[in-house]
Parts: sequence; C-alpha cells; structure tokens
Amino acid sequence: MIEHSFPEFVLQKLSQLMLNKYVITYVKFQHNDNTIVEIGANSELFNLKQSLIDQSIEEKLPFLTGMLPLQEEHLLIPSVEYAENKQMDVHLIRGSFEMRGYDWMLCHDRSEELHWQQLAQQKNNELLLLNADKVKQSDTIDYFDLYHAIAFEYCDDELFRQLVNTPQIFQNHFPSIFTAQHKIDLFEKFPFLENFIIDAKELWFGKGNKTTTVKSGPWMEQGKDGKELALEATAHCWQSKKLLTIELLDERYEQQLKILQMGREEALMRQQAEYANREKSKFLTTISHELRTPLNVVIGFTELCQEQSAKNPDFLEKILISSKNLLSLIDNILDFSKLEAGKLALESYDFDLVKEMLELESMFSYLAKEKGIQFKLSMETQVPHWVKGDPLRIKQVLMNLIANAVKFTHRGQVEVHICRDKKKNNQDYLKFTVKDSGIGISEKQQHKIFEAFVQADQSTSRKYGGTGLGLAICKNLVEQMGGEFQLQSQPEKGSIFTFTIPCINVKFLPPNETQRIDINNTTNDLKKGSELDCESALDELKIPAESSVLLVEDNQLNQDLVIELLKPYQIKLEIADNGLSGVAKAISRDFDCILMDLNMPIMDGYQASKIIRENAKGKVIPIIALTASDSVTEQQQSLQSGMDDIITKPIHSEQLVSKIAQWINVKQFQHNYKK
Amino acid sequence: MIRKKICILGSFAVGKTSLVQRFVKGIFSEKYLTTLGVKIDKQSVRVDDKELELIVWDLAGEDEFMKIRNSYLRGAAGYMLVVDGTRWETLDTAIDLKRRVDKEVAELPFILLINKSDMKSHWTIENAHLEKLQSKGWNVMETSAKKSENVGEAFKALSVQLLEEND
Repeated sequence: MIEHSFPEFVLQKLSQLMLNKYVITYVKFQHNDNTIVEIGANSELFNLKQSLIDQSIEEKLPFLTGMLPLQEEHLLIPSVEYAENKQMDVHLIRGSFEMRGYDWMLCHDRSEELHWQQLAQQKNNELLLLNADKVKQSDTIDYFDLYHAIAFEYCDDELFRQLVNTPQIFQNHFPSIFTAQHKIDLFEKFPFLENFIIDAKELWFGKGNKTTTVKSGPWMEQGKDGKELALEATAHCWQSKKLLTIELLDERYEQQLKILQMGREEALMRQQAEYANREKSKFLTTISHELRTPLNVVIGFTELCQEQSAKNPDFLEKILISSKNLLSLIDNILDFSKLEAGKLALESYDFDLVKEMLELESMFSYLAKEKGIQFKLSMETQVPHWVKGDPLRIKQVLMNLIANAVKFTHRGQVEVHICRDKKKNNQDYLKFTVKDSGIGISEKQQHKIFEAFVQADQSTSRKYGGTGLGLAICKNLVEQMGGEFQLQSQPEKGSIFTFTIPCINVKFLPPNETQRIDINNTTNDLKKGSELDCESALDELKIPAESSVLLVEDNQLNQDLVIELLKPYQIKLEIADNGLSGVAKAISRDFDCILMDLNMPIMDGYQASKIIRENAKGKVIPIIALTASDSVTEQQQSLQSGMDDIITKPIHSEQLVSKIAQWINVKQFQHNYKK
Repeated sequence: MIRKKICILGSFAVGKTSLVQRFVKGIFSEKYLTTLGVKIDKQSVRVDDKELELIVWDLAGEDEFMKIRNSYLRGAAGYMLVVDGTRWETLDTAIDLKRRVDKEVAELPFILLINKSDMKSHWTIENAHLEKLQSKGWNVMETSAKKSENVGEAFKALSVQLLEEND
C-alpha cells in the first residue's frame, strides 16, 4: 500500500480514488529533469516496474511527453492502454513538496469500468443498457455505476470478486450481505444461486456456445424491513471473463407481477364462469329430462286412449294438444339456453332439400286448409336438390315461421318460396321466404320481436299463446348457420320473413329437370324416385309375430307405456328394471330387439349395451336407445356404446313400432345373408 | 441434520404459497397474490428420531403465461404436486408436471395434495379420478391451507418418503 508521505493536494485525490475502490498506484518524478524518484505499491499491476526509478519518464512513459502540467494543475489523461485489454486513467498533479518541485502521476485501473461500458454498448445486454444512462459525473472523473445491480467476477475457488460499488439501494435492503470484502461466497448469501451457478458454468465453460448471457429468472429475498424483494442473476461471458450480475428488479418486477396477476385473475374468472355455465347446462338437461319423463307418459297414454275410446275424443284431443305444446315450449327454452351459452352444435351434411320441403308441405297444408287459408310452397329451378347443412335446424326455422304465419293469418294465403340468393364473398346462398297475408307487425314492434321472451304485444300472447322465444331462436340459428334474417311487414297487410343460409357443396338438378317445381303439383313425381321407394318399403315393414323384445327401463310408468304401445303386435316383451338385470337377461336368451333406457340405477344403458355387445359372440342383437335427452353428445355416446338406433322420448307408437320392425327385419336379413 | 430440497409444483392459484406459508409461518391470507419466480423457505420436520431440514422451493404456478423452468427442479429430493379441488383442470396440469419431472429430472418421491378441502362442496374433481391415481401408487392427501387441515401432515408424509429414499 501507499507507504510514503504526500502533500495534501495529492492525498485528496488519492483518497477519492481509494474510496471508489479503484486499484491505484503512483509514480513520483522531479519536474526539473523528469527523473522518476518513487513508484507506489501495486505498480507491477500496471506494468510499472521498480527498476524504472532514476530513469527518465520521456524514455519509459512516452505517453506523458508534452503532457506535463503547470504548477498545481490537475491534468487527466484518460484510457491509457498499459497492457492488452488493460486501461488506466492517469492523473498528473504538479506541486511543491518538501521545498522541491515534483510531479505525481496517479494511475487507476479502468479496465473493469471500460469493460462494463463496452458490454453496455452491446445492444443485447438489456440490464447494462438500462443502467447506461445512469453514468454519473463526479468531479473530473467519469465513472460507470450500476444503480440496481452488483457485478461480480467468478473466481475459480467458487468465490466472487465484487467489481463495482455496492449501490445504495442494495445497502439499504441488504446491509449485512454486501461488505467491502474482496471476495464473497455468494451461495451462502443467496442459496438460490447454488442452483443457477450450474447454468452459469455451462455458459462460462461451455464450448461453441454463442450465447453471451443467461438469466436465472426472478427469485425472492427478504430485505432488512421484512419486505420481499425480487432479484435476478445474469451470467455474462465477456472475452475470458466470467461475470455475474445480481439485479434488484424493483419496478420491472412489480410491473411484470401486475400483468401476471391480472392475467391470472382473469383466467380464474373465466374458469369460474365456465363452471357456472356447465352447472347451468347440467341443470337444464336434468330439468328437461325430468319434464320429459312425465310428459312422455301423458302423451303416450293419451294417444292410447284416443285410439281406444271414442267416448270423449275432444277431451283427449285437448290433453294431447296441450301436452305437445308443453313439450315444444320446453324444447324452445332448451334451444334458447343452448344458443345463449353457445353450446348448440350445428351439424353439416348433404341432405335432400326437396324431401324436407315435401314434409313441411304435408305438415302445414292440412293446418292451413283447416283454417280456410291457402298454403303454397314453391322452389326455383336453380335451387339444388341436395344441399349441405343442418336439415333439422333449417326445418326448425321454417316450421316456426310457417306456424306463425298460419297462426296470424285469418284469410288469404301463406306462401313459402325458396330460391338462390346473390353471391356474397364468393359464397352461394339459398333464400327462404315465408309470406303471409296476416295481421302484420307495426314498425315499432318489428324491432322488438327478435328479442327473447318478447312478443309483438301482450295481447298477442294472450290471444295466440307462445313464449316469444321462437323468433329469437330462429334469428340466432340463422346467424349461427352463417346467414341473415330479415323482416318486412305492414299492419293488416301481412309479413314477409326472409332468411338466407350458405349453400355449400351441392349437386344441381340435371338440365332436363330444371323447370319450375311447384311442390304442390310435383309431389307425385318426386315420390317416384328410387330413394323414396326404399323408404316406402321400410315404412311398410311389420314386426314379425312372436318377436321377442327386451325392454330395459327403470321407470315403471314408462315400462307400462311401452307394454301398452306394443300390445297390438303379438310381441313377447320381457322387462328388466336396470342395466345389470338387462345384461343378465340378454346373455341368458336371444332377443330379436332390445329397447335400452340410458339413465338407470345400478348400471346405465351405455355400460349394459357394451357388455351385451362383448358377449354377443357374433349374434346380431339390435339395441335401440330410449332417451329423454336431445343432447348430441348423449346420442353419440349411445352409438359408441354399441347401440344401433335412438328413440327420443316422448315415445310415439308409430315411431316405436317402425324402429322395432326395421331393426328386426335388418337382423333377419343379416341372419339369412350369413347363412 | 439432513437437508433436502423439495419443490412445490402446480397450476396457478391452487394454493402453493398458502400451503408453504401455513407450514413455515403458520399464517394464511385470503388475498390471492401470484408468485413470480421462486421463494425459498426452510423448515425443520421431525420424523421419529430424525430431524430433517426441508429447503422448500415454492415455484410460480404454471399456466399459459408462464412455464416452470426445469432448472429450478435441479437438486430436488422430492416434490409436492398441488391441485385446486374446485378446478379439475389443475389436476391435468399436475399430471403433466409429474410426467415432466419423471422425464427431465428423475422419478422422485412426491405427494399429490388436493387443496381447498374447506370448499369440498364445490370440488369438481371426482373421487373416481383420485382413486385411479391412488391405484397407480400415488400418495394423495386432501389439504386446506385456510383451515390448516393436513398441511403439516402432508410435509411430514413427504419427509418420511424422503428419509426412506435416503436410507
């Protein structure tokens, strides 16, 4: 260390440099002949050997030539390179001491600082760039400081040498951790770093690795006042140096944390909303099932009574109509809930549009005739016979509109017209128009009727019934199918409801059939098609006498209903109260057909069907699911479990009989074919 | 004294920090404060006549915003997988994390904690799922950091596994 005495003005500078922990040395020479008279400790570090004493500075330190200061002048020669990658700042001070004139050359090493400045210039070093603007001025010396970070050099003894001053902020929070000691054991102070050093060493000692930094990610430490502070370590590789900085993340961490917290709170809320929605759907499915079950019984028995008793046909007719209305209402509520929750799954497949329209025509022409109005359904020749889409939903929209039109028209006609609409964005569209000469809707009411639970006015509800959900569902369905919905109406003159749907992947009618098709007139012609012939053949199928049918159903009333519905058909009907009992019966003897309820105690219909299929040993056993749910998932699950067909409750005798007949005949056909 | 590093893993907001705070400091806060990075705590556990110092690495939860760094798991002797019983997705994350630890680190002793047992009526994770995991040899415990149910017991159960491994 410095062993010699110095004048006050030199000491002042020296202590300033020492305070900043610079590695320093000095050279004292006489200013009359420039002969070196004294060299300080550490001089070897600056390539200034003791052998320079008594030698001339002009010869040995040529960078000082012409640079000597005037009396008591302080001169700085910055960044003097004294070895490879080594630089020092040189302060020259001239003054009198002990009656003689001397020059003092104070040298302090700036290699580390310059290294950091160079690192800062490397644009990929975010941390240092962040602090680069914090270079501050102190007297005449420029020095580089890191306000929020401490820099260390890794020494091979697993200790770290601190390279820069401990920033005040670190001293405030961690007073006992960073001291002026030369080397420190960082792992003892921050156990987290013991883990990170492995990554750091990979960087420092790894070969061919082009990465120059590796970050630890933030970790938390408790500061002096108990406050949790986020730190992050970064290993740097600069030339042969192994450097490590510890940064106090402070504001950056708070900001990152805030963003993360907000994102996660949002995600939690989203999840909670999804759970609530799922619960709502579950509730709706259950309630729908609960409502459908008694309705199934009411409708079934009413149908039976209607067939068997001629005494009070009116009463029974009314019960039947009310029950069916109630079912349609529940279906509407369910559809609307699904649409609101975005859970209504649309299907898309090729279907016969003409056939679907024929069905509509036969359904409504009778109703219209009864009301004394005309019903016309026409389709332009450019409309393809087959279209791709969801026939069930297209029909649902049309049925709703036609039913409304018939309901609100007391004289005149209801016309349905289907044509191709103009292309939009290279997409073909079909346009459906339902026009009536009914009571019409005022302009004010036109804006409201597409809202859920809204009818034109309250008197409409009283006079015509309905929930006011129909049009809201129609509009929503059309929009979900990618189309548009429009209404034109004038009170007392009638209404025109129009909607479009995309027309995808269609086959056109052959040119010789491209005349205008009036369904009312062409019904017979269309029915000549081979496909319809097949259907007619199926319609005519009968349940073979003495057929054996197993009904697996837990609900006593539903059991009774099926028994009654099948009574006229000389069927041997066996009952099982749950899936397990059904499996036992199905395995013990052969049945021509099994009717399988889905939700049952002990064993449900899916599992029972799976076991029956696994034990079928090549036997063909048609299994028809009976379900009160209209859920697509449940229906898919039924088919995946090995069931062949589905009957949705309420069970209608025609549908039940035709499905049983169809499957028993298929079974017999397959049986004969195998033979 | 035997020292062992254990990691607390799981999806976000499942209660990892709450469990550690309850275990180390005996405190609980209702307010959800997300963890960013790592918090390291120490706590001693006595198992029979042995004293074990657990170095508990409470890692930030995993989600679409943030993935757990595999390097944090380095040197761990075991880990806890924490799941929020009211959010079934968090069980999927836990199963995925277990797979990652097996692949990236090693098959270490672990314990699955279904946290928030104080809200059991809102649980969306069904017993059948848990029974399936138990049948695969998973050690599953139900905990509540809020009610301090099974928290110490869970850390002790893991410590027992660590000591068995040690022997």
